[in-house]
Amino acid sequence: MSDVFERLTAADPYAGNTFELPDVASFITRVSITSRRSSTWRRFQLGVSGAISATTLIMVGSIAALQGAAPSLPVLNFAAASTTRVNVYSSVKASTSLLPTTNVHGTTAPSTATNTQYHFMAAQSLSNANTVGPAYPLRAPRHPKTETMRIASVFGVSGVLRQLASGAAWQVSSPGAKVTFAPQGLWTWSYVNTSTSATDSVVETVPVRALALKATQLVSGLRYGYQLGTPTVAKRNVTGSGPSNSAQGFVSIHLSFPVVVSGTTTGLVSDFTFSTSGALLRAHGPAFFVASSYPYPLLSPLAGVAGLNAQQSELRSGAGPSANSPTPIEVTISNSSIALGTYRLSDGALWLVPVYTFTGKVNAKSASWSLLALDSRYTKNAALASPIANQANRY
Amino acid sequence: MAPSRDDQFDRLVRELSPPVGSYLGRRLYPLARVELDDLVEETFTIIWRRFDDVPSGAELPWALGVARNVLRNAKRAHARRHHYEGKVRPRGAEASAEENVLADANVRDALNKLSDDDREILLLHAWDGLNANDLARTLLISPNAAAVRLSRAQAKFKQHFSETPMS
Repeated sequence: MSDVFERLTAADPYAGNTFELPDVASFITRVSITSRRSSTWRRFQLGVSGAISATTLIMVGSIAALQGAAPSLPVLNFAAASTTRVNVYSSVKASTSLLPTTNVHGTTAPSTATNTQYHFMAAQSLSNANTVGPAYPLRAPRHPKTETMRIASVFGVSGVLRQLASGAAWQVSSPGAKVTFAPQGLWTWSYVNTSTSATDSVVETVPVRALALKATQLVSGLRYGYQLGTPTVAKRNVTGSGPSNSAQGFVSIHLSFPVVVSGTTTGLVSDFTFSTSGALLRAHGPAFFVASSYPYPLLSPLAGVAGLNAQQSELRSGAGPSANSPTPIEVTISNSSIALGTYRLSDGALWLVPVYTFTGKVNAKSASWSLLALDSRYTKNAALASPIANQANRY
Repeated sequence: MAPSRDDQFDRLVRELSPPVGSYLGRRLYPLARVELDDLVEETFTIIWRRFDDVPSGAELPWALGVARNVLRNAKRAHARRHHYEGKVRPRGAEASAEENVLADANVRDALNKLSDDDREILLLHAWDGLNANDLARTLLISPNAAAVRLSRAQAKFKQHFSETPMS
C-alpha cells in the first residue's frame, strides 16, 4: 500500500479508540423490549388500517378484539437474592420474606424467629379484584464522567473530576464540597459539604418546609425518573467533629424522602441533612431514568394471601425436612398496600416491580409481610428474589 | 441444541457493537457526541427486528448498512430541527466543528475534494476495513460495481493528494 493510503488509514479519528457499550446486558434487554413493543404497535396499526378498509362493522369488531387482547409483556426472570445487595434503607420490607416485620416502639425490627410458621387468613375486607399495575425497567445514566459533572453542576460544585480508587465511582471535589456518582449496583449520587463554616454558625432556624423545598428543587434539577414523597424529619445533636470536622457540636436536621415513581412509593430513599442555618451538609439518592412502563396483571389482595401460604410451603420444602415442625401461628391479614420494589433480573437489568405489603397481628403486635404482586405467569424465580436499595455512598 | 434467538442476538451485539459504534462515531458530525449511544441503540433495535434477514457470514457489512440509514435519518432530522429552531430561538450548544477536523491536513483536503459517494466508499474501505464484497452488502450494489467504484475513488483521492501542497 502506498504512503497515501497509509496516511489515510492513520487519519482515522477513531483509531485506537474502540467504541464500547457501557452495559451490554442492559442494552440487549432494552433493545429487545423496545422492539417487542414496537412490533406490537405495528401489528395494532396494521389491524386498524385493515379494519378501516373493510366495513364499519368489521372495523368496530377489530378494535373491540384488539382492546380485549392481552398485551405482550416480558416475563421477569429474577436474579437470586444472593447476587443482590441487602436493603438497609428500604421502606418496603423484605419483599418475599416471610419473616414478619413487627412494630416495636415505633421502629421496625425484623423477627429473628426463623423457624416460625404462619398460616395466613384473609380478613373479609380484603378485595378479590384483579387489577393492573405498572412495572418499570430502569436505565442507568450512560456516561459516568458526564453524569458526575452534571450532578456537580446541580449542587453548584465545580472542581476536579477524578475516578476514585474504588473503581467505578467518580467524584468532583472542590475545597468546600464534593459530589460522587457511584455506578455500581444501584446507581447512586451523593453530596457532602466539607466546609467548616457550614455547621459552626448556628444563628437561625430555617423552617423544615423550606428545607424540604430546597431538597425537592435539587432533585428536580437532577431530572431523574422520580419525585420525592413526604419526608420524615429528625433533629440530631451532633457532638464533636461532624462532616465539617468542626470541633464543637451542632444540630442537624435530617430529612428522609421516599422516592416516588409516577405517584407510587418505591423502596428507595433520598436523604438530606441540613444545618439549622439551612446549609446542606449531606445528601444522597438513587440515579436512574425510567425508560417506559409495562402494565402487568396483578394478583388480587386475596390471591396474594394465598400466595404467602404457598410461598411459605415452597421455601420450607426447599429448606429440607425439619425435626420440629411447630404449630403454625394463625395470622389474619387485615390490610394490604402496594408499593414498588427494585429488583435485579437474571440478565442484570433493574426493574421497579409492584410489591404487596400485607399487615396482620402476631401476639397482639402489628406485623407485615411482603410479596411480589405480579401475576405468576409473568415471573420466574420470584421466591428467590429480594429487593435492592440505594445505600449512601461513604466517600 | 442450537442457540436461541436471544443468545444469537447477544453474541451479535457483543461482536458488532464496537465496529458499528466506531462507524457511527466517525461520521457523527454535526450531531452531538451524546447522540452516539442512541444511534447505536436504534441500529441494534432494527437489527433485532429484522434478525431473520441478517445474512450469515456478512453480519458486519449488513449492520453497517443499517447504521448508515439510521445516521442519514438522524442527520436529516437534525437539519430540519436546526432549520426551524434557528427561526424561533437562538442556537444552543452544538457539536464543535473542531472535533471533526482531521489532524492530517493533506488527507483532509484530498477527502474534501471527493464527491460524497467516493468519500463514503473510500472511508468504508480505509477506516471500517470493508472489502469489495462487504462494500457491496453495505451499499446495496453488486461486488463488481463496488470494486470499480472503490478503485475509482482511490485513484481520485491519490490524485487530489498529490495536488495538495505538502504541510
